[in-house]
Amino acid sequence: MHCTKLVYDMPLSSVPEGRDCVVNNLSAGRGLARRLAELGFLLGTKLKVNRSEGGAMIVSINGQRFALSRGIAKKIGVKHF
Amino acid sequence: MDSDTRLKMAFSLIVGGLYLVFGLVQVLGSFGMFASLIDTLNIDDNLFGGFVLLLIGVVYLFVVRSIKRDSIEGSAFLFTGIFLSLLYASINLVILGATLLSALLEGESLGVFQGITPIVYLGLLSLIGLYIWRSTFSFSRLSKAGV
Amino acid sequence: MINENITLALAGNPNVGKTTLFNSLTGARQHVGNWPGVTVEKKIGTASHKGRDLTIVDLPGTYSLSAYSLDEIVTRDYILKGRPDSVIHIVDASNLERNLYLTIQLLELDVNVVVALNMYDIVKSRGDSIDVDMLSKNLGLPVVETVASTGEGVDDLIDAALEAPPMERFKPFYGEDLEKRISAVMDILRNDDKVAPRFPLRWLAIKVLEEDKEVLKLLEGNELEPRLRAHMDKGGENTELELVNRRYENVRCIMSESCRLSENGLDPSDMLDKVVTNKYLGIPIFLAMMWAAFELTFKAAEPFTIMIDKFFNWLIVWISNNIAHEQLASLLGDGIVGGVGSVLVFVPNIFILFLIISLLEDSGYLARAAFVMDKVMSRIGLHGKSFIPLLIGFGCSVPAIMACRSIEDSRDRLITILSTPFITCGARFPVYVLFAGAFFVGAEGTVVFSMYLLSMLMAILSVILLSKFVVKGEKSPFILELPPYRMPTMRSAVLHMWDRGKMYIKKAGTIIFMGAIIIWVLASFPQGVEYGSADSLVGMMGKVLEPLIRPLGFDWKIAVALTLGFVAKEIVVGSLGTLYGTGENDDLLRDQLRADPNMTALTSVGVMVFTLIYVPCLATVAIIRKETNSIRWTLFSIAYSMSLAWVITFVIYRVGLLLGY
Repeated sequence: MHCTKLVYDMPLSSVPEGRDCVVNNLSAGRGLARRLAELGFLLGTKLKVNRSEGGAMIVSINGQRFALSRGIAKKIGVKHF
Repeated sequence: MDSDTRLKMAFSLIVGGLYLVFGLVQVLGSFGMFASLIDTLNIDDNLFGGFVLLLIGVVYLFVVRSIKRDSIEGSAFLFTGIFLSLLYASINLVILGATLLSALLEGESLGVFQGITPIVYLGLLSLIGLYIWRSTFSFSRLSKAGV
Repeated sequence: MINENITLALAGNPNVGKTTLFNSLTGARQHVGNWPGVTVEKKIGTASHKGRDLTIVDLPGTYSLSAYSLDEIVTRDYILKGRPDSVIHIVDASNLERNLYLTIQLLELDVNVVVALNMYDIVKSRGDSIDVDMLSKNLGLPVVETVASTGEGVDDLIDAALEAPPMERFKPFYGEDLEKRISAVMDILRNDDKVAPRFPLRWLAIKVLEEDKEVLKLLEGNELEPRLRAHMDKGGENTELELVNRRYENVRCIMSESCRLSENGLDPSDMLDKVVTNKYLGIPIFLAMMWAAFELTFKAAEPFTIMIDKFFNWLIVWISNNIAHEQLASLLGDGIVGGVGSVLVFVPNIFILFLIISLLEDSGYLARAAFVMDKVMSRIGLHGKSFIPLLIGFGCSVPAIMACRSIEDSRDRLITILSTPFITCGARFPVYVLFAGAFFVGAEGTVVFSMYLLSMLMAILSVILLSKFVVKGEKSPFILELPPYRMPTMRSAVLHMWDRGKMYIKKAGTIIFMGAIIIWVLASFPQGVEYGSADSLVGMMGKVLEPLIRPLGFDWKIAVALTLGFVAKEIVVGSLGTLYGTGENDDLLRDQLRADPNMTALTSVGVMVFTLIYVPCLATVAIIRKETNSIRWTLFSIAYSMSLAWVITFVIYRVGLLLGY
């Protein structure tokens, strides 16, 4: 069931399981932002949230799966449909 | 609900139920209960082994829980249940082999039958499941590790 | 020009098969060390290909060549300064976009590059396809398909590295604005004769705009610096991110012409993950896996242990029957075979443990386990990634501490390194078996298991204490790549098992061998004294140390055994055998222990606990020093485990006495 409202700039950590979203900005320090970007978390890239639980999230980006801590997920801003 | 889903549910209910029951008996048996049942069914006296049986049973029951709602998720639990039960059955067979080898080396008598515990023989049921659904769950889709 | 030595460097992302390729090229002809000044492993090996001698350098796995991590700096420096004849860039075909990101950066370093397209089988199983010739043309680099785990394509790969004709290489385009700025900076840099001539000019300009830490360090105080600063300030932080974005655009452009991705439904990895990382099932599944690993390690190793044990016993008897010279016989039999044998007896257990860990790693499960455990571990202040070294520690602390290299954050790494020794390693196990068997007949299993629980408790406490009070810093962010599940190959699992296991054997062959001889000497002299009695050198040593451990209820024999345990824990049981005069016979030793009025069930608990906590063996101390690069922390580790051991044992003993045991 999808929302038809387009939400701008939610932190990734708030996106529920199973949803698709798009990376909108990275409010992280230099090193982290660069690292994320290099791993593929680029502005405009589509991301899917596979699992979201207390401490961490698992997301798929470009077919690759990553586990992220909630702290990092909070710093990734996404557009969510 | 199509016939394949019904089959999966029935299969998981039966196999899961068996694992749960045997697991329970094994766990309680390690504390001394059900002695006669333990003898007839050749149940191990291992507490943690019992927990593993319970775990596999639970995974199978998760199939029943989720397959009506989302058949892909249900199949995932089935796949994992089959995988885990076969894994533990093989591990126990390896241990059985090693124990026999040790006994041989020490010149003791061989008690093969003792090693065929529920963890091993219930695995046969999962083998049946693997055969039934062999086209969906083909392991060949997992490629070889290149690292 | 035949037979001049050619240097090839292997580069690529982590987990793409670099090490497998390195191992298959160099076999045993490798040498492992460290890159100067840093704790990054340097592996160099030699190989020969069609009559030519090759030197192969295995560079660390990196995603990029920025200045943010030691691995990347080391890799970059080597390529720029070491100038290998060719870089073999191993690319994971199933992850092409991210892997090609590194390729772009290698192209800018102006070095010869050959691409090994590895793991192509995964691509096929997903239904995707890659046009290798097109890819090669677009990149302007030779591209060779390889399957590192079987060795396919490796010959063609080396051929390409040695002989490929030059092609027109891809030149990344960064967009109008950035390109203008790059040219401007290049113009400024052309005037410099100190730094610029050493590096490719365009690369240097790009690094300046990125405000690359290492490059800026080189330019500090340079007369051109203010002009360069002016250009850097124009874009600020966004320049760096934009460069990253543009690089990916270049990659996508290359890929769009040569790759075809198919739409795919659920693959087996997704299915397994749904269950394995499930809220309720995740941890039970993990515990079940750990239990299975444990069971296998002990039970499956048994027949081999028995065989080795029988062999050594036979050897001892043979020696005493066939060697006339009594002293020599004693040296060989009691000393060497007894000492080293007691260590080698555990080789099957350790190897099986390492084999299991390798299988779990290769299959991809270990990453999920790290993820599942992360929730639990973060409550005590650690990463999920720290749990793998702790797991290996159950076998031997040396490879466990080496495994800490995969923890990127230096604070977490230090805490894990300092806490790993508390995990009771294989060497301490015989001590528990001995004393549990002597004083707790019938409940041996429970006693030993409690020791294992205690060690885990100690490790957890150690982590909590260290992170709260001793090691400063914030907990670092957690990003873990979850590779797709794979069917582990026996070949690679055995290779990894051997990698870690051989450290254990090396330890036996060297330190313990010498330790065994030293003990023998101490126990046999002065001449004519009864082997290992109170009159021998070792006995005298014990008497001197006795007052230190009297409050713990220990006597001089225990003092000696524990002191010798400094060298290697495996020696403890052996030296007790020597001191009580029972040699190799553990049953006899148990009887002697029981008969000793100084030894009670309570003191035996004390001995076991002390052994668990106190100083790790010499090999471990050496490796702590190596991995932390700091004598201060090494000494700290020794002091803190010693004092904890003493205090805790003291408390247990005194409280036990009070309670009437």
